[in-house]
Amino acid sequence: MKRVLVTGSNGLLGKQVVDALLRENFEVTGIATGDTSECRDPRFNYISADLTNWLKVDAIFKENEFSHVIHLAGIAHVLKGMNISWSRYYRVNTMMSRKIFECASAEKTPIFFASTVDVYGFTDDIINESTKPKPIGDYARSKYLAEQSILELPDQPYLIARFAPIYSEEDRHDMRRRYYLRFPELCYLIGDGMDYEFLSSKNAAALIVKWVKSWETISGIVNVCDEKRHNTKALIQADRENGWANMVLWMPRWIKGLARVSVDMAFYKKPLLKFSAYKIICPMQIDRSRLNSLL
Amino acid sequence: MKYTYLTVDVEEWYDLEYLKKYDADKSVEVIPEIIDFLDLLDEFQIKATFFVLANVVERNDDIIQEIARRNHSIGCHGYDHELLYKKNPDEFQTEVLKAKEIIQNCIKCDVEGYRSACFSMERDKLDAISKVGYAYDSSYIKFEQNQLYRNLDINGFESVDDLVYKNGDFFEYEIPTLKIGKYNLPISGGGYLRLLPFWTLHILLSMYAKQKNNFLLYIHPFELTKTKLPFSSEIGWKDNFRVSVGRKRNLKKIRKVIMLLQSMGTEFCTLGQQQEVGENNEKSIGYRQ
Repeated sequence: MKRVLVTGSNGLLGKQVVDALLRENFEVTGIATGDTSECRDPRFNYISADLTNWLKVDAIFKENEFSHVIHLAGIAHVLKGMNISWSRYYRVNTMMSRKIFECASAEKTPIFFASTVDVYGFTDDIINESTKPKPIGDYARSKYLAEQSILELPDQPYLIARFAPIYSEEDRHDMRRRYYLRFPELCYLIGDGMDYEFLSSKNAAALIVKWVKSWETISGIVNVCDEKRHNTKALIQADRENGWANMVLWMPRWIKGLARVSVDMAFYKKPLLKFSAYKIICPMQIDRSRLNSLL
Repeated sequence: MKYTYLTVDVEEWYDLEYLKKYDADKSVEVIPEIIDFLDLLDEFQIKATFFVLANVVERNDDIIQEIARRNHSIGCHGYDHELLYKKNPDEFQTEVLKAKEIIQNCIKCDVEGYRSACFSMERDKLDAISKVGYAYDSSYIKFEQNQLYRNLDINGFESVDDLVYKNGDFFEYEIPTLKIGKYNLPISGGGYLRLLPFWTLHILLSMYAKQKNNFLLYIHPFELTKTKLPFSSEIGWKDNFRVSVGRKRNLKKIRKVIMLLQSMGTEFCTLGQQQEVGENNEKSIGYRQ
C-alpha cells in the first residue's frame, strides 16, 4: 500500500499532520533529522534522515512508494535566523525542496509544499494569489525559489500553500512577539488593537488532510490563514484571563503612523529589518476567497 | 587579456596542509557555504572549473550537483588532500580512478580534469592520470620558493597558448606567476589573493597583462565565506594568519578582480573547453563557452 510522505514530521506542524492523517486511516512515513519520533502508531513509519544528503533522498524514494508528498521540512524564519547564512537557507529551503520535488515528480506523485506569505514582501494592499511576490530576505527568497522549482516540473500535480505565521495552542511565540514587550508581564495595545494574520497548526493540518483526500481538485497556489484576523485587544484579554499581561501599555492609533515613518527612515537601506518591523506595525491582510472556495 | 580560467579547489578548511598538524573540529564545514560565490558567478555569467576532492562528495553531493546544475565544469582534486609525492604510483593510479568514478557518479557526467593537492604533481603521476582517462591537468606552477609545490617536468609538452601545454591529446594548464626580474611572483589566487590589497593586485595584474594573454585564478571554499573556523587552541600565530588573512572581505575582492579582468577585455572560460581547430594549416586553440 502506498504511504503518505511527510517531511519535517517532528516539527510543530509535522506532528499534527501525521496525527491527523493517522486519524483518517492513512499509512504515513515521516522523515526528520531527529533520531526518533514520538509517534508510536503501527501505521507510522519513521525515517531519520538529513535530506540535504541526496543519496539518502534517492534511496528513500527508490525503496518506498508514496501516494502523496507533503513537504514541510525547512529552516523557519526566526529572528535568530539573521545569523543563518544565505547558503544555508538556499541549501535547505531551495535545493533540498527541489530534490524532493524532482523525486516525487519522477512518479508524478502529488506534492504539497508549505511555503510562506512572506514571499509577498511589503504591501499595503490586500494580498491574494495574483499578487506578485517580491520576497525580501533570505528565508522568503529561498522559499520562493523552491516554489519556482515546482512550477518548472511538467504535468506535476501540486499545491503550494503560502502559510501565514503558524501557532499552536502550546506555542504562540510568533504571535506574542507582535504585542508583548516582555512576556508574560508587559504588552502594548495600539488604539483598539491591531489585526494580524495567523494560522493555527490545527487548521493547517486540516487543510493538508483535505488536500490528501481530494488533491485532484485542490491545486495551484493558495494563501492560508485562519478564518478571521486576530485582534491584539482580544488576544490580550484572553491572556489576562490566564494571569498574563498584567501591564498593558496603551498607545494612541497615530503612533502607528509615526512608527512607520521612523522605520522608513531608520531602515532605509536595510530592507530585511524594515520588512520585519513592518510585520508588526503594518501587518499584511490576506484575501480569503480562494482558500474559502477550496474549503 | 584573452582568456581567464577561474578555478576552485573544492576542499574543506581542515584539508589545508599547514593545518593538518592540529586537531580540527570537522563539524564546521565551508563547502556548503559557497552559494554566495555561485550567485556571484551567475551575476557575471561566468562559468568556472571546480576541482572536487572525492572524499567530500558524500557529505556535499547536493552542493556538487548544484555546481554542475549551474553549468560549471567539474574536475577532480584527488581522493584525499595528501601530497602526491607522498603516494606511490600504483596507489595513486587506483585512487585517482576511484576519485573520478565517485565524482562522476555524483554529477552523472564525465570528469576530464585533474588538479593535484598543493600543486604537488610529479611527471609519473601526470602520465598516470592521462592513462586513466583524464583529458587535462592543472597543477603546473613555476614557483620553487614554496616547498610544498613540485617543479613539474613537462618535457614533451608543446606550448599551444599562454599557460596551455599539449602532449598528444592531453593538456596541461599552468598556474600563472608574474615574472619580475629573475623572480616569479604568485598572483593567481589562494593566500596571495587574500593577502594583497586590491590596488596592489591591480598593478600586478596590469603588469601581468603585458607579459601574457591568458590568466588563471584559483580559490578555495574557505576563502569564499566568513564562517568562523574552529581552530585548535594550539594553532600558531603564523598558521592562523595564513588561513585567516583577508577572508572576511575576500568575496568582495574577488568581485572587484572579476570586474578588473573584464575591463581588461578578458573572456572567462572553463578549463577543458579547448578544442583544436585547424585554420590556414596552423594549429590554434578554439574555446567554446
